[in-house]
Amino acid sequence: MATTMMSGSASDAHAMADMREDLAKLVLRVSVGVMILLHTWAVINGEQAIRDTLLRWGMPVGLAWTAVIFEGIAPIMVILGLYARIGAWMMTFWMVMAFLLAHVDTGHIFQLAENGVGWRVEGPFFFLACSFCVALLGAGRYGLNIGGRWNN
Amino acid sequence: MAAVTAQSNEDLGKLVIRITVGVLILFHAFALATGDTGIPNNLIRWGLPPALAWLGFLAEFGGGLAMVLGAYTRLGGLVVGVFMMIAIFMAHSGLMGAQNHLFMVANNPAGNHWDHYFLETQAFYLLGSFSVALLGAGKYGLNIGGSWN
Repeated sequence: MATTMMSGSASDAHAMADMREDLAKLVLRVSVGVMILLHTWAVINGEQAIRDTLLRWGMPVGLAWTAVIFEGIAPIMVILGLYARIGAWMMTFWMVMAFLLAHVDTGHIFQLAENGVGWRVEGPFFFLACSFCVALLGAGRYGLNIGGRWNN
Repeated sequence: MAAVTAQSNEDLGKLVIRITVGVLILFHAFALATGDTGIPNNLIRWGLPPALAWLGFLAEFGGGLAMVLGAYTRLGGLVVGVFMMIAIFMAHSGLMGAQNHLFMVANNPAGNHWDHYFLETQAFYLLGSFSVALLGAGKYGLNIGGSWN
């Protein structure tokens, strides 16, 4: 390994590029996965936002528990590199639903944050975009690497 | 054919992350340029001239624009990433009288239950920017900047 790193051939340049890509994929999937799990833990512990949204649309409040799947199991798959693309598509679906049910008709997507600094929904949008991104890019090498093309 | 599809997905993924980080940080650059006092107040707390906030504006605006356009994208990602490291160090790490937010959770918009990492937004900018620096722009963009893009 050390000798190939130093020889500087074209294939080594490719290896370096792959390493950078794999590192970026690791950074993205772990950050989006870990941070959404905090939201899920809050839902499990009785945080009301999703339930209030479901009530507003006349939907069964119990649907909030699907959070355990879409923002619980799915991000764990993403973090581990276990069918990560499937997990990331599930998270993407979840965030699209969050936007459709909570942020479009309320007008949030057309507003700045309450202190005027930044877009009002930049947090949810980061979750949406980063999940979509992981679904497109795959998990890279740094993980369990299980699932073939559904992971990497 | 499968390889071609994978490649176009890669380029689309790179586009999504760099447009997201780039456009969203431009909102912050705009706020700073139109009188937001967050960064100037932090500089004052550190005994530094508040005019240094314009360096922050340059990082946010220049870095964001580079990422959006796909011109020197990696450099833009690196600049915003380093800027975010400085911001988190100066404003959120418990130094010079600031509260330490590194290991805190914060409340939901209704303010009645914690539901996210306190520095969630900052972490997305920091890690998203470094990801852009590592990934590069992909093919959808101006494609200016050689190995820096």
